[in-house]
Parts: sequence; structure tokens; C-alpha cells
Amino acid sequence: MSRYKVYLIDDDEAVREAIAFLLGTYGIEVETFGEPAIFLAHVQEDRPGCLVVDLRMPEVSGLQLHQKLGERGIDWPTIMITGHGDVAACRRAFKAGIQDFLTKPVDGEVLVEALQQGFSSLDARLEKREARTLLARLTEREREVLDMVARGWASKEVAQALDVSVRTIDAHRAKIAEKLGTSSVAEFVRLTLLEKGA
Amino acid sequence: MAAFALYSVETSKARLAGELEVTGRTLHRLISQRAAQHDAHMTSLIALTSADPPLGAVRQVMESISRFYPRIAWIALVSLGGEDGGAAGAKGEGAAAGAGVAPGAVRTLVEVPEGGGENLAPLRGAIGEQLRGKISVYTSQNGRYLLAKRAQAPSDAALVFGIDARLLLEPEERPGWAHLRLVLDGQELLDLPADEGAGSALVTAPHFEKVIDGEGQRILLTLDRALPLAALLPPGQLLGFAGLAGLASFALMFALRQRAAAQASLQTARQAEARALLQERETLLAHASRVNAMGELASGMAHELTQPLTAVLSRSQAALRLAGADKPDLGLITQALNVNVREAKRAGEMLKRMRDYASNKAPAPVASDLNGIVTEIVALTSADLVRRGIALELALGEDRPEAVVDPIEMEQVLHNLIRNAADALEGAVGARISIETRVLGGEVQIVVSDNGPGIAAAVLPKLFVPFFTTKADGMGLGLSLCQTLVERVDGRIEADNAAGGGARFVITLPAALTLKSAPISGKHDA
Repeated sequence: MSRYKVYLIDDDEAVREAIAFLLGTYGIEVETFGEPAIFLAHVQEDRPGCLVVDLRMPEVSGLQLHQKLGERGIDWPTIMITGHGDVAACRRAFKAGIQDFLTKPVDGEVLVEALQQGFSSLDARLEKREARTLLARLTEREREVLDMVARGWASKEVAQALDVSVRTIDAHRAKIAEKLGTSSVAEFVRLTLLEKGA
Repeated sequence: MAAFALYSVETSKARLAGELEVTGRTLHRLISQRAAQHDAHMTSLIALTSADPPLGAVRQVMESISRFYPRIAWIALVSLGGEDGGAAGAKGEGAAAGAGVAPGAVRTLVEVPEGGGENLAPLRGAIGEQLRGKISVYTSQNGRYLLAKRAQAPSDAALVFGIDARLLLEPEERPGWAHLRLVLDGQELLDLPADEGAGSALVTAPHFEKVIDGEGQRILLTLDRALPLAALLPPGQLLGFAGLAGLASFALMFALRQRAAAQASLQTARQAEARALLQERETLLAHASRVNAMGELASGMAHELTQPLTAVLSRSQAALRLAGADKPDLGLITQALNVNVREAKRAGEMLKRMRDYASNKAPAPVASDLNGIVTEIVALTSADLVRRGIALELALGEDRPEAVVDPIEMEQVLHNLIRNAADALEGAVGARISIETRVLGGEVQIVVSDNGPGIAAAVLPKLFVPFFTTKADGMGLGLSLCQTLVERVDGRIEADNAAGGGARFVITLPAALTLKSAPISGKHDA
């Protein structure tokens, strides 16, 4: 079973049904939508997944949908599928930050591979977001202390550098540990690296 | 007597000049109309190629154009090779011999007839610098001239027509009494001297010239009338009164005979024009619309066929995976395969219908069930309507309305009407198109109506006029074609606005005779 859902948006019912059926045999859960507007009304930020979107749809195109989601802060990996192997459209899609661009008829294995990459990319994105959210809770001073600790400095060295007592630094570190849910220096390093998008 | 004779000669001269002017204008209009057809065909063909159909399809359209229009002696789609053509245009200054263009052959992609070609290499630079969307004209050999139009960016293709100037006019349209010339950039495309005995060419007095509309506006038509020598002789002292009178009456007689001849030839030209117009309008309309629709179909075809293919592929792969499982779910696999079979058949039918639609079959009116025709066209268009959010309502008469029509042509008429309605409904909420068939006494009707904005009062009278269009990218041929096709089978088509708003088109056809078993054959000539 996949960790995430796939949201499939295509205006052709036969295509939706067949692709969902195929992905189902891979144990991937699919939710289908006949038009972007319905998906936009339905999408929930806290239920992340990968998007498989038909590039050409009446009213709202696949790229416009991608842009609208972006405006709402939803940057889930998106795989564009299209019946027209149009180079220009493909370039625009990649420029817009599309995960992958596949032409119809889509080969099942290629699609699943693209989705696996999408899931990994989603993992990374969510971790990064989590790291940012956690780190944003720190005060400016706590952040300063964290960066020094993450660089391998002992409390004493931090205290000296900031010209405060060791006890003050320890108090800061306790607060940091409480906010981040960990007192492990290794975790601190990981979080700061994730935040930078490594 | 002398005064009368002189007066007569002078007025005859003026009259002759006037007739030359009238004939010149008639010929100018004829040729300009034909030039406009060349433009229309180039536009449709370019539109077709921009959809990137297989070259075989392009060739098919080219072949039917060349069949209908012998004067279009050569049609070719060529590649100018790379972007250097455009680069040369950007440089501007390097125009001489197309300085920016690397030497290289113009590659022919499709041509009709095969090998009937022209050497385009010297024109490569010039064509490459043409503005896209504009048609340019170039001189060629053997009374031919070339029209060239570049494809939409970023394509490096160009469409070239070789026009046989000698066939621009039918033999009976040529005035035998005047010297007719078509000149392009100083080069004579057509030179038809006046018939012998039409008069002296020593001094040619009345002269007509006008640039042909279209074709890059560079072809000049000139018409010169050789005046009878008699009309030009000055009344000299050498001639006696009697001689003068005799000469004058002779001149008068000659002038009158000339005038009669001129009128006869003018009348022939007019009749020929009317006949040619009628005939060409039909073929042009039928064809241009088909070509246009084919361009549309070609791009639509990619989409329409990709969808079932995608579904079939995905479902087949899913079935394969299910079959490879430890405990294959045969029920599910069978179900998937059944859907696949249905889907593949549907795609095949779609292809068949497109082939029927695109092929240039001669119309074959037969007693046809209108409900069947409506059902066919609904099958062809419903996917598109559903995608555009338009509901389709059918009210098919239970009394089996039948008329003697060509089913494909009637489908085409309905397709045009439905497409127009769908365009008018674009973006409307609750959009709906209704198609109704019914029997009304000795007539049968098909009514296509929509709940769109309707037809503006100012537009209504012009609705069926060729080349009249309210669409930015329309050619204005759709409804005109519908009318032609309907009238060809003794029917009529009328448009109005329904009481509840929205446009309504009513096609009325004579009901087929009740002898349903006997097919009624024979074309109905207007």
C-alpha cells in the first residue's frame, strides 16, 4: 500500500476509471476527479498526495490547476499526462515545477515509477516543511544557540561567545529541546539541514 | 451628313471604350474571385498542416483540391530547412539573394502532382522572409506563377501553389476583340492578342488596367481594344463629301457590328461567370468546409483516439497484473477485457466515421431515415459536447421521418449547426442543444435549437451569405454550405430565434415517397 493517495484529474471518464483500476493493482489508492474545479473544492492541505493531471481540459488546464494549488501553498508532486506530445507545453510544465510529464497512452510501469519518485519527493517536502514549522517556534536567541550547538559547540563555548552564563545557555537548550521534541544534537543538525532543503 | 457621321464615329468610339471598361471589370472580378479561392485554399491547407496530421491526409486534401481546380497546377508543402529563413528576415538588410540563408535545398514534404514541381531553391530566401500568414506571389516559367505562404511559427514549412495563368479564364470568357494580358513584375503571365480582323492594332485607343485583388496584389490585368482603322481616320480635305459620307457610314456600320460582337462576347462572359460562380461556389464551399473540418478533425482525432487508447492500455496492463497474481480474479479480468473490447470497437467506429466524412464521395441521395442520421451525428459529437458541458436533448419523431438526402452530407449540415450552437453556448451555465425531427404533411423537418444568446437581428439576414462570419477565426462558409447542401436535395433551411430565446435552425425537406422499399436514386439538379 502506498503511503500517499493519488489524486487523478482527467475529464475523460474511461481514462479515469482505467488508470485508477491499474494503479489499484499496485496497491495505490486513487481518488478521481472529472474536472479541476471539483478537485479544488475538495482538496485538503492535510491530506497530501501525488497528482496525476491531464494537461488539456476544458475551462481549467492542468497547468492552471497546478498554479492555483501553488497559490494555496499546495506543492504536491504533479505528473502531467497529455495526448499531445507538445514540446512547448512540456517545457512550460517543467518550468512550473512539474514532477514528470508523460504522454498518453501512459505505460503503467512508467506511471508507477513516476509516482514512486513523486512519493519520495513528497516525503522530502513534508519533512522539510515539518523542520521549518518546528524551527519557526524558536525565539531569535534560541535559534542562535541552536545553530552554535548544531555546529558542535559545547554550552560553555556558546556562553562565552554570547557573553552570558552557562546556566542561561542550559535554560535555552531546555526550551529548545521542549519545542523541537528532542535534545539530540544529531537531530538538531538534521532539522537545520532539512530546513535549508538539503 | 458629315457632322452626323463624325458624331456617330466619336460616340461609337466612346461606347466602345465604355464596353471595354465594363468587360475589363467583369474579367477583373472573375480573376479576383478565383484568386480569392486560391487564398482560401492556402489558408485551409495551412490550418490543416498546423494540426500536424499524417502527410498522407494532407496529400489527400491536396489531391482533391487539384482535381477540382485544374488551374492550381502544383501544390507542395516544403520545408525551408531550419530557422535560418526566419533569421534572414530578422536581419532585413541581407534581403538580396537571402543573404542570411545558408545554402541548402528546399525539401519537398508532399507535392501534387508528384514531380510536377518548380525549382524553389532561388526563392528560398524570399519565402523565408515572408510574413507568416501573408501570401506572396512569385513569377515562374511557362505561364505559371507561384503563391507561397509560410506555416505558423515555429514551423519552417511553407505551402506553395503553382497557378497556371492560362487556366484563370475559361475560353468562352475571353473577349476575342481585345488584347488581354496578365503581367506580374514585368513578366507576361498571359498574352492573348485580339482575334484577327478585330481591327487595326496600329493605334490602340481604349485601354483598361487593374491590379487583381488578392495574390499579393501584384498581378496586373490589361485589356486593349484595337479600334477599327475607319474610326480613326481624320476627315481630310482629300476626301470628297460623298467619300466622306460613304466612309462615315461604313465606319458607323463597322462600329455597330463591333458593338454587337462586343455585347455578344460580354454576354457570353457574363453567362459563363454566373455558371462558373454557381458551380464553383458549391464545390468551393463544400470543399473548403470539408478541408477546414478535416483540420479540426485531425487535431480532434488525436485527442479523441488517445483517450480510448489510454483507457485500453491501462486496463490491459491492469488485467495482466491481475492474471499474474497468486489467485487471479477471473471475474475482474473478464470484466476489464469486456470493457476493452467495447472501447476498441468504439474507437474503430470513430475512425470509420471520420474516413466517411473526409472522403470526397459524390453525393448519393437515397431515401434516408432522418432519425438515423441524427443518431449518427449525435454519436460523433456527444463526447465533445459532454466535455464542453453542453446537454443534448433529442426529440425524434416516432413516425420515422424520411427524406431523399445524402446521409453524409446531411450529417455534415447537422454537424455544422451543432458546432455553431456549441460555440454560441461556450461557457454558458445550463447550456443545452435540442434536436427535433418531425413529419409535417408532405414535408419532414429537423430542428436544431439552443438556449444560447440567439442571433442578433442585424446578423440574421446575412447568416447564409458566403464568407460572412461573426467568428474571429471563421471562414464564413459553414452555414452557406449547409444551405447549398440542403437546397441541392430540394430542401430549405431557415434560421430564427426561438420564443424562449436562443437560435433555431429549421431544415425542411420533401418527405420521401411512401414506397420505402424502393430506393429513390438520381441527383437533384438545381
